Amino acid sequence: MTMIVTVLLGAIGSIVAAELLDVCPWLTQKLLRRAANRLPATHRERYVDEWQAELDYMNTRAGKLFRLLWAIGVCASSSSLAREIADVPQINRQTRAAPVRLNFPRQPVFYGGSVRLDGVNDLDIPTVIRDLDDPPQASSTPDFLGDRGYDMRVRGPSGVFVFQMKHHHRTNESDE
Amino acid sequence: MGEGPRMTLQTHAVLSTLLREPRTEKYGLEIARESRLSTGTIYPILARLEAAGWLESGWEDIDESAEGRRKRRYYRLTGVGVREARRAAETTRRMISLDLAGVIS
Repeated sequence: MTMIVTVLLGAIGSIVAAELLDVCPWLTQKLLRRAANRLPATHRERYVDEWQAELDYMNTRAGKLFRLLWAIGVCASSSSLAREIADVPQINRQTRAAPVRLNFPRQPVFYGGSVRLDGVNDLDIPTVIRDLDDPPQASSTPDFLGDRGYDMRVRGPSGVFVFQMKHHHRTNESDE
Repeated sequence: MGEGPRMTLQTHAVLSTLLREPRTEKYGLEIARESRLSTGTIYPILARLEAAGWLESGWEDIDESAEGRRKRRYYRLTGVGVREARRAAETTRRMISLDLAGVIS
């Protein structure tokens, strides 16, 4: 009798473990989506792509359970990541309080170059993460500067542009 | 540069890892593994250092369909990052030495 119970419990345990293991990839994706949803909208795509790439790499080297543990770690730290992203530097708080004129490069699509904030600082290497059909005026006033100087929304003729800033410097300081 | 990023032990670990090969680009998992940190911890630190201008990041330049995987995001210290990271490491080393000297004497 005891032997039958042991065998049954072992079989049930194996089935349950296999089922749980099958749920791992789904749960991993769910956790990554939840982590991404905690981030500012402008950063979600970047981190989802980054995490999925890491997951691709792990798919060839790590088991389902390891990948799930990794996703739990990412999800657990996502609030902290969101805080870091939303930590607006002092220079932008100043800029937001007193909006300044913004001179855009005159290319129709902004994949590089620099944007000048007159009287405050230069924001280098802007990368458009979402661009619309019509560029903003060559000179325009930003209606929002946020997210640690990385995201800048500018109202153009056909809507709002979102720029991602890779670096921000004060002009009177050297980079190297 | 203005005020530097908040320095924690984990931040030091990440910076030490990157300083070993300052011009080499590394992806998140790689940095986490070499720093002996959990990957969950690594992204907020990388974001903080990037916001401070100490790190720069960019997507890997590969053909995704040929490689059979997505592009990874690679991180590298900037010129400012190398200089400031060395300075931070030196400051911490000096502080620890002073603390140890106080304990020993």
